[in-house]
This record gives sequence, structure tokens and C-alpha cells, in this order.
Amino acid sequence: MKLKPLFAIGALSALALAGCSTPVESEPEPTQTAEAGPTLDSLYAAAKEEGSLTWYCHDPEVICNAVADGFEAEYPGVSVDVVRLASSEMAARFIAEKESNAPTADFLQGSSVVFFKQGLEDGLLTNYTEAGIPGFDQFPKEWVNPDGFPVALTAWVIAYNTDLVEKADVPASYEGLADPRWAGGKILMPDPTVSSAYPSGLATVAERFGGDKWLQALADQDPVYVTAGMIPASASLAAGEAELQGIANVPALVDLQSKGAPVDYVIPKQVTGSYYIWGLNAEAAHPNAARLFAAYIITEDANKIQFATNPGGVTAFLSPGDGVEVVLPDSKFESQSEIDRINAILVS
Amino acid sequence: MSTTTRERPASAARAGFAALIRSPFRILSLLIALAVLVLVLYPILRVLLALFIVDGAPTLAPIIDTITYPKLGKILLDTTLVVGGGSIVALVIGSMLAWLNERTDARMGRLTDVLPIVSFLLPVIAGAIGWQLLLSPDAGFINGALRGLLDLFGIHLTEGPLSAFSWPAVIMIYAFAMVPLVFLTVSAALRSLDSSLEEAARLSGAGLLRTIRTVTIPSILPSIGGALFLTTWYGLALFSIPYVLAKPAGIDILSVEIIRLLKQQYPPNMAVAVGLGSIMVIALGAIWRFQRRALRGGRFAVIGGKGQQVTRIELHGWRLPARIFMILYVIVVVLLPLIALLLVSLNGFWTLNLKPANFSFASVVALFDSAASRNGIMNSVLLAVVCGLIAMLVATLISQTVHRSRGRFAQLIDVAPKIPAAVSSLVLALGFVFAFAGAPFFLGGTLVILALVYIVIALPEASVTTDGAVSRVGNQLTEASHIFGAGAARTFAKVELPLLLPGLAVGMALVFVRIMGDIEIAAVLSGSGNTVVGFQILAAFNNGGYDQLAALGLTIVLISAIFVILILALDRALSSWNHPPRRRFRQRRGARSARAPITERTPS
Repeated sequence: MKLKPLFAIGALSALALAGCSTPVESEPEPTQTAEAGPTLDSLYAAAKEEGSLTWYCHDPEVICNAVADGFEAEYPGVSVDVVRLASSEMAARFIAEKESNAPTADFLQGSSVVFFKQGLEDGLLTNYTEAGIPGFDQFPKEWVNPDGFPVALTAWVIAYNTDLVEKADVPASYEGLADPRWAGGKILMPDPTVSSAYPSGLATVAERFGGDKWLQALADQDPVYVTAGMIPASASLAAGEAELQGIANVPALVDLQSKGAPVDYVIPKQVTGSYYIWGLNAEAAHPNAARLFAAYIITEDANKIQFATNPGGVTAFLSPGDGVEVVLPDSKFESQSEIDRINAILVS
Repeated sequence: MSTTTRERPASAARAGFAALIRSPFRILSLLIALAVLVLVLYPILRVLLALFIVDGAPTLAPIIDTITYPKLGKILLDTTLVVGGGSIVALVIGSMLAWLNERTDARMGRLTDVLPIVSFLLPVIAGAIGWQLLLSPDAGFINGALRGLLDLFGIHLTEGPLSAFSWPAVIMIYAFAMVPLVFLTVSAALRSLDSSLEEAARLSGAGLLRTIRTVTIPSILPSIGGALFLTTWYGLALFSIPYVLAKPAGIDILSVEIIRLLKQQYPPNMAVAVGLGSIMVIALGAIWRFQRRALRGGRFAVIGGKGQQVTRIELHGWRLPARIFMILYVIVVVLLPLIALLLVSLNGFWTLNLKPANFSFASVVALFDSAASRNGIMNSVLLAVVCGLIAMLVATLISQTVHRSRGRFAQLIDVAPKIPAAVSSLVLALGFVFAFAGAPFFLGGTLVILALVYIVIALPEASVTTDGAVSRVGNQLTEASHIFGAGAARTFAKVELPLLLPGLAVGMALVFVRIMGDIEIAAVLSGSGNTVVGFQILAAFNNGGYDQLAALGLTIVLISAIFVILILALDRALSSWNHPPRRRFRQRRGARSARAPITERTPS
């Protein structure tokens, strides 16, 4: 695995963070306190003064609450007010609240690279470096985006209907989706025009298989595009509307499996996915609690809670599996003009 | 409504503007009417302004961006074909159902009066997804059944034979959603049309079809025009049917495009969304003018009036097939999608291999376990009741004020609550984003902004009901109350309102169902902080799978049905308490109730 050495470093730093972040009553190791401990401790003390923070979270309600509970267990006395928002509505709401000086998020988690980039430029958001999050200097650089925000992925796997396809026949890589075996409406895909994540992720992996030519080959398969995205596409897959789902979200598949639906998935050799991006309100009402939470949410412990029900979670500390290369969607495919160009190829 | 002015005693008419400002209560009514005018016009104005002014500077960019928008031609053509096609099919089916119910002996009492409008109770998105579950080429329940049937005849298909993602399916499903509008409008027209004209034609030797073609249809032409306007207005705003079915069929629809520009990309492309919204306004304006011109042509003869005789045409051998058609229509349009949703909800996921042994209510339990769904349902019920009541009250005050006065001013006030009916609800929602979401009101993401829009969209329906109720109540009792020294407010509370209530109940039911089942406005204005059931349905569709959505859809149907039944029962109780003589009169004329929503819907 390409990222392995870095994962190892990451794991170490996570241990360090976890060590420091244990509540004050348990004595931390002296060597670790010397490094980051005092900062975290002082943050925790200041955060307790503030009492709480507001978190805009784009995960499902249950997951947001689990992470909040994990944080509250780690830092008793600081509570998290979870506001569950779709990534698309987060931007509009946060900006309007900032403009009107209304109470708003101290800490945000979304998937729109453009929103976080724009927010940073407009001074509405701040990234981890600027906010001086303790321990962030040891966080694996691969998992920090060009705008200074830490990121993670929820992997796009290749899903199949187990009644219609043998596991051995399922492509081991996205590249195989262009195989003639799957021509003529056998692949379900989320409609790439409904979220910029789809075209930019697909274009990034396409670079490994011949760029636009591969995108064109994929489009020529005449995939069944599902307007509402990956999750309804998985429902159609379970029903047998098609044999494969080219890119699928793992939690939806796990949920279907738990109900007995005939679906399963393989993790492609080079895996990409939808971003998780974490950032802070530049002028948070609870700046210390926000920074404490910021430090917590990128730890291995927090990752394990956040992705407990999502085996597709790929973070600095959670690997998608041995021999799997993680491909982060490239920022050069994020501009509206690029997205329009890619979509023009995919939906022709 | 025209009848309002005609029936008014001359004494009240002479009072004119003076009557409008006679008492504090009248002034209050006037102020409310003006507030409504502002609330309706200001957002529309903001949408139009947004076409020419961006960030405070004059520009033509939104118009240019809209005109050069990729696929604009295809979007407009596809939308025209789907909405136009759907409207025509709906006109045919809806008129046929109305004619059978009003003019022939195929009618089965109240059953066939209400059946065609039962589909109002089913939220459109639930219907759309129901149809996807039924007609998907591979896993659709109907297709599965048809393939099983064809197998018996040695024809083996692996998919199809029907497809939900096709032009005919999309047009038919649009039509199903529009039929109630046609049915209500045409029924009202047929009811006010004296059947003696048709009898005369038939006595003079014209056959049934010729009579329909040369007498019935020309007589109700204005109503057919009105129905066409309503179906277009409704069809243009429909978002959930194309979102679920048209996009996968490669059909590009205006409403889906507008919501995509607003909600599914960052930053939102307001300029083009507004440009596309304005196209809707223009299209509706054009149809409205067309309808007006048809009205002015005036070759139709509408002989209205009360207590006219209706002779029902005896269908003889055709009576049973006609009845089967009416019942079958409801089974196909309402029950089949509901059953599909129910099966998926019980099974937990969508499949042709249903295993009844595994059926459970887990998805319903999950629905009520989720705080977001519970909040959505609670908020929707709250908004439907509160906004419904406010809309009915405002509409009553306006109808009263108009009823009492004459002249331009009254006309202006009369028009205010009806304007929203001429603007697509999607455009209104867009207008409210501009007008109230940001500075200086900052109502974005609140229940208040939703409440305001819901009140506004409820006003046309509400005011048509209240106009009818007010004109029926008449002035004698009100004047008596004045003579005995009661003020306007007291007269309103003690005399007018109790008399009006029965008429208002039906309006309230319509408005409740409308708000409860809203998807389009929720798609633009609702979010996690001000969640309503429509938003939850969309979220379930995007995140949760079909079982959750089915459970939500069924919950809405159930809540709406209970509310409508309760309010109609209340209506019945009130009217028998208020008007014992009228009730006897109605009974003598059979069950054709003067309170049915249809009566109130007669276009002015």
C-alpha cells in the first residue's frame, strides 16, 4: 500500500494525541505532555469555560451523534450541539448566518471542496494550520488538502447484484467498468450532473486509465444514470434493475445487506471517493471548544467511531485494505468549467 | 367572483369606499388585504429584478446566461411536450370522469364524487416512486407480473415490456397528477350548465356524441380553458415526477434544472435559476391571455342558476363499463402505487422476490425513531393547520371586504389572493429566497419563511372557497346585526363567521392536504433546521432508500385522510346546526351537496 509508511506515522501521532487527550485525572506520559499536551490541556480548560460547541455535520444523524458522544466522553464538561445538514445546504445556511451575525457553527464537516476553499478566501472559515490545532503538524500531509483542511474519503466501491453476477466476474478496478461485458445498460451510475464530487472523482481516476478516452468508453457503455445519486442507485441494484453499480456508497450497501438484499461489493484497486472536509468558523462563538473538537475529530479514535458502520471510510488512520491505492480527487477537476466539460463526456 | 357583485344589495354597493373604512375592524381588514398584496407581489418583483440587477449593478448577464444555457432548447421542448402532453391526457380523462359523474347514471353517489380527487391525498413524489417500483423495466412489479403472464404463452422476456423511464410513462404520470384539477373544474362547469340544452339537442335528433361535441363541449369551453391553465401551472412546478422518472429517461425538465442550479451545485447559480423561472412566468402569462381571449370570444352559452334540473343520460349497457372505468381509474392511479410502496416498506427493500415471511414494520419503527422524521411530520402538521387557518381567515376578511364594496380598489384587493395561482409555486419559492432569506429579514432556514410561502400558495384556493361562502351567506343577517348596534368586528365574530364556517371547512381541507403533501417548496426552502415532511421525503429518497420513503408517504396519506375526514364531519355537523332548512333542501335534491369543493371552484 502506497500510503502505508505515512499511515504508520499517522498512527503514532494518533496515539500521541489519544494519550494527551485522556481526561486530566489520568496522568499523561511526561514525554508526550512536553510535545503537545499542555496546548491540548489548556484548550480543554478553556473549552470547559465555554461549555459547548455547535457542529454542522453532513453525516447521517446517528453517526454525528456517535462522534459527539465519543468527544463528550473524552472531554467531559464540553458538549457538542449537533446540527445535521446536507452538504449542499450547509454553505447557504452558514453564509447567511455569518452575514446576519446569527448563531452558527463553530466547527463544520462537509464534502464541498469549493465551499471550504471559498470560505477560507472570504475569511468565513479557518483551516487547521491557521487555527493552530495542537498536534496537527504531525498529521499526515497527504490527508491535508491544498487549502490546509484535513480530509478523509468515503470510498466508492463497485457493487453488484449477487443474484445476477458472480463475484469473480466483478471488475477489480474502475477501469474494468469500460469492459464490453457491461455494455448496454448493465451499470448503474449516480447522475454525474447532480454532484460535483462525481465528475471530479471520476476524472481523477480516469487519468490512470487514459483520461477522457476512458470516460468516453464508460459513457459508451450506456450506463443507467440515477438522478438522486448513489443510494437510490443501490436500491435499484438490489431490485435487479442492473447487474453492477459503477460507484457505490458502502453504508447504503451494508444497510441493504442487513435487510437481506442480494448486494455485495468489491473495493477497487485504486480507490477514490467523496470527501470529508473539516474546518473551523474563523470567528467562532466557542473558539477553544471548536479547536478542541477539531483536534479530536482527526484522531484515530474518532475515525473509528465515525466510520464504525462505514467500512468504506478511508482516513489517515483507516486503510481500505492491503494493496489498495488511495486516489484523492484532484483539485484541478473542481472548477465549474472542468465539471461541465467532464459531464458533457459522461452524459452525451 | 362575479356572483359576489351581482347579488349584492344596492344599499351596500352605494357605500363604496366609505364602507371600507367605516370601522377599525374594516381598516384592519383593509390593511391585511394590503399586506397580502405586498407579500405576494414583492417576492415576484424580486425575481424579476434579479434578472436585471446583480449585486446592486444593472446587468443583462442573467438573461444572456439563460439564453446561452446549454440544452436550453431541449429543456424547453421536453418540458413543453411533457406538460402539454400530460395536460391533454388529463383533460380527456378528467373531463370524461366529470361527464360520467355529472351527466350520466354511471354516478355512484358520493363515492364517484370524491374518488377522482382521492389522488390529492397521495403526495406526488410517493406516486412517482410508486410508479418507478411498478414500471421499472427489470424490477417493476407490473413488468414482473406481465412477464410471468407472457411466459404462459411461451413469450420469454428478460426485461420490460413497459418502462417507467420513457416518454409515454412520464406523460401519463404527469396526467394522473393533473386529473383532479380537470375533474373539479369541469364538474363545476357541468353542474352549472342546464342539461335542458343537451336534451333539446338530443330531442332534435342529435346523437350522444354529436350533442357532446356541439353543445356540451362548447358550453364548458371556458372551464376547459381554465383547466388547461391549472394543469399547465401545476405541471410546470412539478418537480418530483421528473426528478424520479424523467431524468433517467433523458428527458430534461425545467423544474429539475432550476432546483439543480439552486441546490445541487456550489455556489448556486441564482442568475440562470431566475432566468428559467421567468420563462415559467412568461409561459403561464401567455396561456392566461389565451384563456382570456377564448372567454371574450363568447360563443359559448353558460346558463347558470340555482335549482336547475339535471336529467341524467341513461347509459344502459354502457353503464357497467363506465362504472368499471371510474373505479379502475382510482385503483390504477392511487391504489397500485400505494400497494407498491407498502410492499417495499414491509419488505425493507425493493425486489421482485418478495418474501412475505420477512415482512416487518421495521421501516415504520425506524421512521418514528428518527428525530428528523418526527420533526418533519410535526412541523408539516403544524404548518398545514396554522397556515391553513391564517389563509382561510385572511381570505374570508378579503372576501367580506370585497363583498361590501365596489370600484377599482375592491377589485385590486380581490385580485391579491388570486395572484399566486398565476405564478408557479417554484417561482414563488424562489422569490421568497430573494425577498426574505437574506438581509434584512434573514428568514432563510426558518419555519417562518415556509409559513409565509404556504400561506401565500394557500390563498388562491382559500379565497375561491371564501368568495363562494360569503356570497351564499348574504347580507340580511349582517345588516340585522348592525341595526341592533353590533360593530363590524362583533358582527364578524358572532354572525358572519359562524355562518361561513361550513363553507370554509372544505377550503381548509384542501389547503391542509396541499401543504401536507408539498415537495416543491420544501425542496427550495426547507432544510434540516426547518424540516418538513416533504424535505424528509426528498432526504429519504436521496439517503435512506425506498422503505423509509414509503413509510413517510403512507404516513402523509394517513394524516391527510384523517384530517379531511374529521373536517368534513365537522362541516356536516356545523351545517346541520346552522342551516336546518338548507339541509332539507339538499336532501330533497339528493346528495349533490352545495358544500362540495366543486361548487366553490367555479371560475369567475
